[in-house]
Amino acid sequence: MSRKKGTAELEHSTQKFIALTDLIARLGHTAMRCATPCIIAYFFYKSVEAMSGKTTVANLVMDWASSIKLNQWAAWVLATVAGAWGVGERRLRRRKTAELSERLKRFETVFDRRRSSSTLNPSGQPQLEDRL
Amino acid sequence: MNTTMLETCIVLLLTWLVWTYGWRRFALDRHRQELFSIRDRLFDLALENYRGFSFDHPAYQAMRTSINGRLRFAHRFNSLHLVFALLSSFFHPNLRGQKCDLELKVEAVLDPYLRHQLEKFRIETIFSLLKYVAWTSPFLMITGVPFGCMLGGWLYTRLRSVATQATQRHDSWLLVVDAQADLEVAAVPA
Repeated sequence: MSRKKGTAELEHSTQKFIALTDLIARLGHTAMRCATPCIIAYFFYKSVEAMSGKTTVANLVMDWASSIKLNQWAAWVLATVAGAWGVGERRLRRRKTAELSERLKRFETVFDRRRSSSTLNPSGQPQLEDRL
Repeated sequence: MNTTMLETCIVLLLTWLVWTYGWRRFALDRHRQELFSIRDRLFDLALENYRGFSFDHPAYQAMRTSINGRLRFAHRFNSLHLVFALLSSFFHPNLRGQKCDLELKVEAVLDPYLRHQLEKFRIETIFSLLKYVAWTSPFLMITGVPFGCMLGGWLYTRLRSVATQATQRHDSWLLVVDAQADLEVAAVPA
């Protein structure tokens, strides 16, 4: 009896330890993820502050647009097109995944009635409660 | 000077956006796709019903549950989890040298071919996770690329030889089954 209790306690303490490390890892990751745009925004603000009263937004945009060369324009356009293409491809893939996963689920359930699921939605994304 | 500063800030912000919402999501989707592929192969293995390995087999259930869990929570896993997992597997008294439920159930499988296949699936899920962590951690990407290339080359050759051996074993097993079937057919009186 005492041995069983000991094992249960051991398991409980291990689970608590794992939950704690999971929390620390997720907090650390969220902190890094949020800190990056904050630091960038801070430097952006400082550079705008340094220019306040000296120049206008219109001047700034004109200066920037006139200073970049043709090859730089080409690079910006190419990057924008590549980004849009990537987003389009992702949407297409997710739509296709949603179509195919339903068929696969039906097929697998025929052979395995107790088929377990990952609970991801048909397009392969986690449910809302798992995203947090 | 300030225009350059502003431009740098915009480029940094765009880089962050591409990293977070582009690259990381792509790596996550790729990791999930690899897990789905392993789960499909596991399903096919159970469908063959080779030596009683069916959908009710404890090893199948454990493997499927493990893959489902990995699929479900893949987005939460990051390099810090990996560091904690490694450290606790060496230093935590309850976790040091412990085998997980899946590992024990795979080891309990008596048939060598089946055990080998299940072990291969288990290792593939671990490699897929390690690859995902390496692709989504800037620190690991910068420091680990040269080391990773060497290790990747070595692992590729090793896994390839393991896969070749497994295929040969499977082929020879099929030959034996075919020969037995031929003998049974020949034994049936006309």
